[in-house]
Amino acid sequence: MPTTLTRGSTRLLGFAIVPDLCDFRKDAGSIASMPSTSDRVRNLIKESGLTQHDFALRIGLDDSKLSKALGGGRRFSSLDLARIADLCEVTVDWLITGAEPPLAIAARTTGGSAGTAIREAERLSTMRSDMADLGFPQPWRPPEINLRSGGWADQGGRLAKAALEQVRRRGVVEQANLVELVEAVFGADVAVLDLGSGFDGLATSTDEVKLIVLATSQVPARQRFTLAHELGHLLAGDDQGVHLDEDVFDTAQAKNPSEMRANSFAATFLMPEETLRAAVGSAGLTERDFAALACDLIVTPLTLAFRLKGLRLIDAGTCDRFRSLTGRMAASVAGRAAEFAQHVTESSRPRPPGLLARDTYAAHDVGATTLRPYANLIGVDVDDVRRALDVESGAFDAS
Amino acid sequence: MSTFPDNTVLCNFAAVDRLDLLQAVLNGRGRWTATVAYEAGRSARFLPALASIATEGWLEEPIEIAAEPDVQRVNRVRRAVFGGTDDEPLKHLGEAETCFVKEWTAFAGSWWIGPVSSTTDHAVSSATEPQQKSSPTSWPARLLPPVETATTLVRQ
Repeated sequence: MPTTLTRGSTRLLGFAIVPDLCDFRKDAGSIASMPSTSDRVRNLIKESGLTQHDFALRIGLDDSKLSKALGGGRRFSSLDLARIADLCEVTVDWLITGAEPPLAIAARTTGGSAGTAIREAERLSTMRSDMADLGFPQPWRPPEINLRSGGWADQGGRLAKAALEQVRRRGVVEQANLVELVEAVFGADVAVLDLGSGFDGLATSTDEVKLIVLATSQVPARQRFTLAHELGHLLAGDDQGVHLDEDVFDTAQAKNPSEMRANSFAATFLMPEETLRAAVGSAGLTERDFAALACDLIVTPLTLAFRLKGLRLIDAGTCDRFRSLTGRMAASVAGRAAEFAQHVTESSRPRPPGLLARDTYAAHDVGATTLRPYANLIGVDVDDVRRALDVESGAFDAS
Repeated sequence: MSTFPDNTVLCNFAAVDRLDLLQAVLNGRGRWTATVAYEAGRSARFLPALASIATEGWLEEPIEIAAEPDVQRVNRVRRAVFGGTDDEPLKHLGEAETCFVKEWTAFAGSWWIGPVSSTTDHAVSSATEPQQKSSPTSWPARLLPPVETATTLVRQ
């Protein structure tokens, strides 16, 4: 089922972190609405179960300094707040503002593969916001289209056509690597994570961040449909916050209006009507033709069969026959097993978001940051990256 | 003109028992932020000589950053410039604080001695100013390469 947390949501659903010192739970009423840093710290002390004296010891302050800070006679320093944040597993920003982004809430309250994906999305979103602050904003380029009229599925279809037109204007080959296409044409960041099974992807959107997180998959067509689906959410302006899709093909999920629109977008974007009509032509599709078309579009035979039936290009009986194929079978029937294996290899591979990697490197290159943010993003030790970059390479002495 | 040694540099000198040499080089101009002092205090568990810096006071009182907008700015610099995360709020905080206070008028033109990974590959002058990008020509003009400096000084 999809899960949506929207901007402005302040309800804290639980506190899954279990530190040995501050094993307490928070709720919106007791903490998030409090007006000052001192109030929030006072409440953290109370809920920690520690005496004020013990709490002061834990954060390296004497009783007098803590009392003054709590009473407004002294401000908490940068170090004080970092030590409190570290002790109580909150953020410095939250201590100062009391505001917690939807992703942060979701990260605390979600377990399993989805929780892992959300925590990574939170980390990447923070990096993107910080990069924007340094002058490297998300290069977000949605197609300009009015979606206020028509049904949900119709809106998704029109949005997809506008998106495809944008792809063509940019001169990008539609069937190229879709992750790279989404980044190049629309300016959204796409990360691929090894999350195990049970989670397809998520999209998160704020003013500064447009990010899609996908799970690695041995079913490339499923990963591709998930990406198009999440792109549909972003382009439609759904869910200012975070949108989870644990099972993008879930039938109950498909009844939700924004899901219906995102699914319609994905179907039209990946399987354009004119392409399908041209493929069917006047002679219709043999099973081998159908298999080849599924390989061309890199979609599951099931999805393609339903799309063809929906466009009345095949009848129900043919749909039932075609949909029984798997992607592997289709590749075999079409004689494209090697190509299929290559797609499986690619979709099984984790990948950091390309635009964010580009921008963190650029920020380092112009001297705005150290090399660490870039090294962290690509998951390599910063000293190893520096050594590699500093060593002249590529020359081969054949003498 | 002040000089801000990073905790790594303090540890380097303490490890070879030559903090006196660093003190002499700084010649009364050395300063540290509250977090660098805190880091040195923690490092003193393994390098006891570090405790003498605070007791002898040759880096003066640690500089505290307390205005909330400044604290938020330091936290953002810590993440964006030094690769820190919200999960570890103390990581790279000393570097971010130093980077920030170097921009204060009182410390204009000061030097920072720190690890190569923190200093020599980015422009400190631009890091605390949002929405501004520096050019390669603004790369650190006032950063001493720490390891080389420490090595050179210790050899004398």
